[in-house]
Amino acid sequence: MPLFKKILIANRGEIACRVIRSCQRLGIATVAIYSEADKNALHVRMADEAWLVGPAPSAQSYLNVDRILEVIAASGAQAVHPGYGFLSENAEFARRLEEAGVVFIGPPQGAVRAMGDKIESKKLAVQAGVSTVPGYVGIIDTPDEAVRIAEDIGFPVMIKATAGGGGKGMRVVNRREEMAEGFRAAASEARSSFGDDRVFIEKYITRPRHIEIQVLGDRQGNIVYLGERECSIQRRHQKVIEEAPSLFLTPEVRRAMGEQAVALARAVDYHSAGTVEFIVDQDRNFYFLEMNTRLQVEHPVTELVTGVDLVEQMIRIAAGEPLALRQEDVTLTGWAIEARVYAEDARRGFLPSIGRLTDYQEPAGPGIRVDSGTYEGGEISMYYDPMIAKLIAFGDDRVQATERLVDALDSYDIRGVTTNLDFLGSLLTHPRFASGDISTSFIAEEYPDGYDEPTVDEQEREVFAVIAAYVRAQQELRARHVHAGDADSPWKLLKRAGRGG
Amino acid sequence: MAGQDKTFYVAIQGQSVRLDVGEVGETGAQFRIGERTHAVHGQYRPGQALQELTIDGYPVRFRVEQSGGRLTITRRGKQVSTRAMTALEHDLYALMPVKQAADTSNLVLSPMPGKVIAVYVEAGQAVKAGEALCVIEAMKMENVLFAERDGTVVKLDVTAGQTVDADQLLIEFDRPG
Amino acid sequence: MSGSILDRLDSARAAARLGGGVERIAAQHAKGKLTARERIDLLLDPGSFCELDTLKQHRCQDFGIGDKQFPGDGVVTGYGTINGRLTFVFSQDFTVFGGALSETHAEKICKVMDRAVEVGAPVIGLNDSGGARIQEGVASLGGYAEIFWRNVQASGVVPQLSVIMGPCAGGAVYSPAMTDFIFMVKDSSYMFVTGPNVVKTVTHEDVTSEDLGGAVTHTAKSGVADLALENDIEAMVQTRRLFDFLPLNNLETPPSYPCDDPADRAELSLDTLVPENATQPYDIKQLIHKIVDHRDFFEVQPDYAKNIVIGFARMEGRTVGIVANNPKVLAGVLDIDSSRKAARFVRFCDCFNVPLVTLVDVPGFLPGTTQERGAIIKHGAKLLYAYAEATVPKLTVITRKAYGGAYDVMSSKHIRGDINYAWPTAEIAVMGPKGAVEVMYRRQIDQSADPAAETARLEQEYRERFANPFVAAERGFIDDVITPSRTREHLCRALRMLANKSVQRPFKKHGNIPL
Repeated sequence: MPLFKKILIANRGEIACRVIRSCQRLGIATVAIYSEADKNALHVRMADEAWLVGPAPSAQSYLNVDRILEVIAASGAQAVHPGYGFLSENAEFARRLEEAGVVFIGPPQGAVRAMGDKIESKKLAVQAGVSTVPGYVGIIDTPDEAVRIAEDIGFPVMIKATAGGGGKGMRVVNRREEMAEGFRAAASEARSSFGDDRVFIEKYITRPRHIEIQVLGDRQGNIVYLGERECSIQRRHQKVIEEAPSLFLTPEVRRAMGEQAVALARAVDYHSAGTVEFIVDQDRNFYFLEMNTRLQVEHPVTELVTGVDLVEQMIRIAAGEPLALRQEDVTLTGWAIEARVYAEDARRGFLPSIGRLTDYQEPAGPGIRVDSGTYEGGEISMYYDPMIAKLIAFGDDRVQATERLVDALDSYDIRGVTTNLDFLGSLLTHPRFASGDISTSFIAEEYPDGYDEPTVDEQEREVFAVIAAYVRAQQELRARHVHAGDADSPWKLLKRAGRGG
Repeated sequence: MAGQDKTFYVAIQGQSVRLDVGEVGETGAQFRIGERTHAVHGQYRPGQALQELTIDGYPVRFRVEQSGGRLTITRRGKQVSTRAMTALEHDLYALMPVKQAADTSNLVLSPMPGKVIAVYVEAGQAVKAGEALCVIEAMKMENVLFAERDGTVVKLDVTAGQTVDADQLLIEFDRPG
Repeated sequence: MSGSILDRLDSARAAARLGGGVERIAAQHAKGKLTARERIDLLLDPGSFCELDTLKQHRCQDFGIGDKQFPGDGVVTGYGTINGRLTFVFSQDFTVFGGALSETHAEKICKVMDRAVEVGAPVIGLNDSGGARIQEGVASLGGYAEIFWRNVQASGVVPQLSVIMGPCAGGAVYSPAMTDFIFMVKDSSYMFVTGPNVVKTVTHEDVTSEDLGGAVTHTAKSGVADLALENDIEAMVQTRRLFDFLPLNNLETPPSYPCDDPADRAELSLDTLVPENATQPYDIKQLIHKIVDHRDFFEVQPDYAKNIVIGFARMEGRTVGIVANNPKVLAGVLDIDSSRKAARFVRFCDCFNVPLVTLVDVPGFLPGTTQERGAIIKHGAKLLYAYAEATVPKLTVITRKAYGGAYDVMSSKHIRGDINYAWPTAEIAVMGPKGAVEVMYRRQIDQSADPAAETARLEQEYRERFANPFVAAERGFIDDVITPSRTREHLCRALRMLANKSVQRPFKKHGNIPL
């Protein structure tokens, strides 16, 4: 079956570059869209053609559906890859593409809608036999009702907004006395963030691990799972470091999670790539959290341990090809860890740091992969997510992958903006990371006041001292080689002698 | 021709490490710290941030930044500010009183004459270091002023649209704690 | 030799080393200041210092001072090396009579200055003195004048550096004022003609020494000093660093320094340095750091007149002087302070065979009554004069704007810039599109059906015609339009070509630069 001739990427930054790269490998022409702020962006330079879609603010550019449809028509793109964020989970966009006869490289609209509603998705999960967090699967109308249900489930509980995500509209309630306030706060936050104040209740799992399953399905109904990703290292519900596989899962649990993920996907007739997120407690009980009906930021770690190019698969699936992969073909080899490199100041509340990259040099070496959307001289602007790149390391085992990643962080030269490179290095060299004793509260526990200048032990101090002394010694050595300028040429001396005065 | 330095002292996080130089050449050196000897090999590349040396046979990758007499070294998630001194400098530094960190002014002054075209904060607002405070336009160039430290805005002395002189008071912060 | 003579020599030397005595030394240290000899130990290569006049003593008998004698008379003088190159130095000793200057103290300084000019080596003065020694009366003032006269004779012959490491008040300030560079130590040094006490009685202003003439005042407000250093040690380290850029005298070419930075290093980030948006500034220092050897840029007067950047750097190991408008501050406009700051630097480089690299992004001169009444006409002319007068190799790169008279001033070809390059983003014109269209087409716009649209159209036309480097290139006023990422390569090649540049100007005693 022929793949598409031309694909438009409705995104920007590193994911746009990532998609373009796979398209280039497949011989598919690429169309980029950009806002005025992104005129010189890397994804614009990489694509075969690029179209301006609007001024800097996302609402007027990367979310400007009408304009994007115009560009699709004008460029003759046959399919659209939405990346992640922006329009990737916008069922309305998918519908309009369908109307225009353009293929949406993603799941069917029904799946997108169903999984977009937390209560709906939970109900579907229960029906599909997926393990879910004990809770009441329905809207809670009053704090009193909430108290009753909470006592049923058992404290502590979590109040969650049904339209929520990204950590917003959630409150933990430990005792009945806290319920009234928790209920009110969660609903209020949900209303202001999502315009929908409906909430439901679940048991709150303490110190959970966040482990997600990558699923991949074709239009013919074949769905496989491609192993898990451990994404427990998060700061304020934003993932910072992800790895595949997880140190915590046993083969049995992995299989159970994978099969349940596939069951859920099947329940919504899923095709394309998707991720089913679970939280896992200390006893390896896992509970469904939500399903993301798109490609995830951290997909590279799965690609490296399975050898599957997920973007390529999404394109093939969208073109109607059946999956070449069967479940028994899926094997996980080695270990991959990803660190998200951000333009933010870890020492100042992780405030975004905007500016121009005066220096940018990526690390390279065995097992190193950098998914970047920028280059030296590029801009990190205030309009978009300040992610600079994803740095991924692959190794035969977790120790090797970790070492390679730490080394790569020390070989990454980014100047002109402040980055979280030091913070990432600190996380990866933390003893709890090495032992795998991690959970979603890891960063909050180990860095309660944020990240600051850590103290060095005696051995480290000696290494730093040796470095400092060596640098100084070398500088002194060079300076000693200063010598008088070369003797002037006769041309110059004669002319000068002729000068009067 | 002057001789080479025989001893260095490196100040790191309040401690001073003494290194005696065994030998120094363009591609390596030997240092002794207490009972231990360390052999360093590699080229130091002046002006570059990324450096790679071997110390005692192990590859050591790090980033450096020089500012005045201080060298900031970053490695494996740790960033330290160091000062490497010759023995003479070290002895004389011991005589220097420790200077109090300068009281960063709580006043934000206009760096140049121009026009305030936007003010992003208001009185009573808590602001973090690095946040944008206002924009001054001069000679058709827009200059954004950022907060130098965390603090709370006590008083706004200008409004958008106002013309200002160099050093004119724009914003008053609370005094650093 | 008689043992007693040797003993006497030993004790005299020991006494000289102690200056004003152990207690006074302790007091000096307590203030965070080093002694005169400690400073020299830091400044010069270890073991290289040859002291002169260690045992010299004052001859004054008045006011009972005849009995108070200190060998050396309050100043340590001599010569030594910095990284192997010769320099002369005098270091005032605050522990002896408060470093006050006497006739003999001045004689010691004059001796090293005379010798320096004879052999062609720089003079470094470490100033730490309470002023004239009152007991000596006019003889002390005469001593100052002898120094001043020599400062002037030596000016432009050998580099003269002053480091203010304590008080420097009254007439004493004029010697450093006439030297080429002044460094000051924060919190422990100050310079003023009249001190706070007298100021209080005469003008009734209440001001501290620090505010009146401290390091920060002179580096940020008055522009008298070039650098403010944290302490004595930093001051000596930075003085050594500056010294390594300079030739020893005006017949030498600038020194050569090890360089493994390839001359053809391309910097892709420069291609996006100039923002698309004309109202967005950028930091010219980013350009400077990318084109010089090893990012090593020694900035002078960083806190004064920040709309222009000056300093030393090296290209292919040889010192160059950099002058650059900084669009980040006041859009890089030229004004009184920046014109003066750059003019003196240009003239220094010209004195000492240091080639000049000028980076231009200037929208013009700063308008306003303050500037006009402050004589921007004369001060702007200083910079123009300095560039026109300079015969060292002059290289110019226009990155964005070069409007009006400021285009002429900033080392343009017409005032004998040797190699003038422009980036594709350069706009060389009498004035920017908005102003120009307003002047030239006022009537046409007023009479048109849609003035706003007409203005926009005319501005666009102007932009295409003039706001680019091509007109200048067509006339040969620009030697070439270059790719920003290859700026370093072009400059290095030009510098190599210009190494033997030699021009002659008609004889004159000296010009009459507007002062």
